[in-house]
Amino acid sequence: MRLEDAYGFISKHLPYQDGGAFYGSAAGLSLGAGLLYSNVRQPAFNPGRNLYSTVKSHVYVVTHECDADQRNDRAFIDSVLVCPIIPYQSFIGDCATHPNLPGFLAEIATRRVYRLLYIPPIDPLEFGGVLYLNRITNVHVSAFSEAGTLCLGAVAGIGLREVDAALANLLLREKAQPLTGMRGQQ
Amino acid sequence: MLQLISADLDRLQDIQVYLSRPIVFCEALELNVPQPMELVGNAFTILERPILDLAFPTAPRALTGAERQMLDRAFWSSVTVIHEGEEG
Repeated sequence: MRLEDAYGFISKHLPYQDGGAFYGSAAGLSLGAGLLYSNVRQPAFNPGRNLYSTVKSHVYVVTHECDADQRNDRAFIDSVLVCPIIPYQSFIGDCATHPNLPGFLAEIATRRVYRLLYIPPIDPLEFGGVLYLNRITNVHVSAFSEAGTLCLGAVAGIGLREVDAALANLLLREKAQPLTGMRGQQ
Repeated sequence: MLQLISADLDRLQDIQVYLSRPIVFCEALELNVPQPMELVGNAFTILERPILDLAFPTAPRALTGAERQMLDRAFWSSVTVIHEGEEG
């Protein structure tokens, strides 16, 4: 499947119609949830080596701005949670051998794959990207002021609701295996 | 002022039934109850935007082993490795 076809396919199956409404201006916004950055330094576990590497990638900022604002006289505000973004181009390139790529893409677009969330294009992600939610990690706040790190923009209300819903579903959905003290348990 | 709110809430409820998207109006109402005029204005502003269905399928799609490997490859091909970890 050509990249352009894969982009058209996933766009057609998204739960919103206007990808342009997904993003808004980042002007005046301080570091916090909803911003997207490129070249952010972060840890990444390499299962092949059984070690953590240091990598740079596009990220979506998860931590609320109040918990990352360095002007706040608070403890524990040096770390920021970010979610790596896999450019759609890379994603399609590495999934090209999938026996049913259209079906896989449709299931991502319709949120049947909980740990992945497609986001529409934003410069320089020409075809959008995929938030890899199970790779959410923490970075030091200084990572955002390193040379080469760039704020790409921010989601708008539509985009924030979409991402927040995916995060809530990922992190807060009811446990499938009841714990002691939960309804129906002794 | 109260009559205005009442009338417009009735209208919103009619539209809500038509669209079957109660979450949109719940958000609008919660955000703007202290400011009645903005309530009406914002509610209709939200209506004009693309409506987002926030429901998730109840049965998630489990990834196969091959898909997990593809995903892992896609992640590593999309990052710039600036330092390989080292054994302590």
